[in-house]
Amino acid sequence: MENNHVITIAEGTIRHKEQVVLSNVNVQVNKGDFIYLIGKTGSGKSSLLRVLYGDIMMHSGSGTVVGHNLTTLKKKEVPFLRRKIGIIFQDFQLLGDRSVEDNLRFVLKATGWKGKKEINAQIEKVLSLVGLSNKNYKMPHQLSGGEQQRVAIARAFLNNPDLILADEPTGNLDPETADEIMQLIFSLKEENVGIIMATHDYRLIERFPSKILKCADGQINELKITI
Amino acid sequence: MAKSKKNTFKTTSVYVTASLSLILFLLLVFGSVFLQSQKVFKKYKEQIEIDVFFRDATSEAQIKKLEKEILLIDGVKAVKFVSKEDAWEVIKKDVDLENVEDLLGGIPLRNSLQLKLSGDYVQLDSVKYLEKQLLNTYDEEIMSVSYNEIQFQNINQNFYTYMLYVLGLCGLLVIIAVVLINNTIRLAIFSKRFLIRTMQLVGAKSSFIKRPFIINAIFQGIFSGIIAIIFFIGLSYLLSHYESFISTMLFSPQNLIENLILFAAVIVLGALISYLSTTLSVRRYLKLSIDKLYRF
Repeated sequence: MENNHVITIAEGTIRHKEQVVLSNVNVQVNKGDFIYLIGKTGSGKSSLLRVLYGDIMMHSGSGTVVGHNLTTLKKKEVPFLRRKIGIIFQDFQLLGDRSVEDNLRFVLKATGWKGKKEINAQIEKVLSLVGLSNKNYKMPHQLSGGEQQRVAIARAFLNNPDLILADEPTGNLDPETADEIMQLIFSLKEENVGIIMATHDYRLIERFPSKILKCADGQINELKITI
Repeated sequence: MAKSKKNTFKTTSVYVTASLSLILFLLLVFGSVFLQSQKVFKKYKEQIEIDVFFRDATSEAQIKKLEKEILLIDGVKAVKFVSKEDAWEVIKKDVDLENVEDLLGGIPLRNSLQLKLSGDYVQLDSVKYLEKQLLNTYDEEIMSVSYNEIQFQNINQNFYTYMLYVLGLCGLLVIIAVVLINNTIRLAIFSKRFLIRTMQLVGAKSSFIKRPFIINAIFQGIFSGIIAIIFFIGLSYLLSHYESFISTMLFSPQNLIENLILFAAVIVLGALISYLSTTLSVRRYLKLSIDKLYRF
């Protein structure tokens, strides 16, 4: 965490059901970095992200994410790791049984926020960050895909994370909305957050150029060329 | 639209509550029958009579004196003097015996005492012991002791068999209740498995995720128990108008203490089944990996 690192993985091996998905993983992400993660379906992008948010264990090698050691990570530690990370999914994964505001309130309460005033202020802050201040009372299914993703981004930002992991966040959106969402995610760099975004959408990479990591043949390599 | 989502959640709860209430209601009925059966049976047993016949030489005054002594014997609950004239009147009502009295030159019966025993003493061994005791002690006054031996022999055995059936039925109901409710609750939680997953992903601790499910489950159990009790009281009230015997086996002021114990037990059982099933189901989904979550 000192040196501004939010992710450091060295010689990492990631397995999924006894099968090696990625080996010799060497990744370093700093605050303020925006990194694309590309690769075919099944190339290990999602497995890497899952390791980063503590859903699967790294098999060997060494690494830390937002100050948590990935090789010695205990189950009880996982919620605390996730509180320092914002996760954005292709299918938004909002709590469908409650309003936008209650979705956000749930996260804050679940992560130890107490005061009503502070909670409301934080909700207001993140909703205005994603431009949804006036939709706080809506249920997720009453929102468009783009709006739902904005809520997911707002949710990811609630605990002032050091790292944002976005797993194909524009995958379910039309190109125009995808551009808007992308603009929003890209702008989060300015908040001094490290961002890793898995995507298949090369059009977006062209429009918002940044560092690219490519998963292929069980390896992760940085693409030196800009697409 | 917002309402429709909330209704889906409510409908699931309604299904669980309805199933739980029905099962608890049945348990209340059988549980009450089981508890009250012992009372009813004891009452029934205490109605069985033993006749003690006296020799002709024994005077009514002597018998009256003996009546008091016999009442003090352990296990004797009530003693009633039946003069031979009274007994003769009873027999005459049933059988045409108009000329028998003249033919025999008197009433062909003996004075007797009708004994009723306490419930615990209504068994063959006790009755035989009592008979021996009476005949030994009052040899000069008592001629014979008469009772239906087979009735005394079978009564307890028949009751134990009956109780075993009712108990078995209660046990079976509890098993059905647990399996049925467990399945219903598991389905309800299953429909929320992705919600649980999302909660985990935003950094909620397992205990935080479990808490509302468990609180809801306990309330659901208690609420179901209360509904079952209302139905049970309703049924007892209805039956009291038509079938007094069965209704005395259910809710009635005479059974208040047993009823209250049973009500408390049903509420606790409802909450316990609901709590355990919910805890196990939620824990299962909390531990499941995303791959397995989709494979259901």
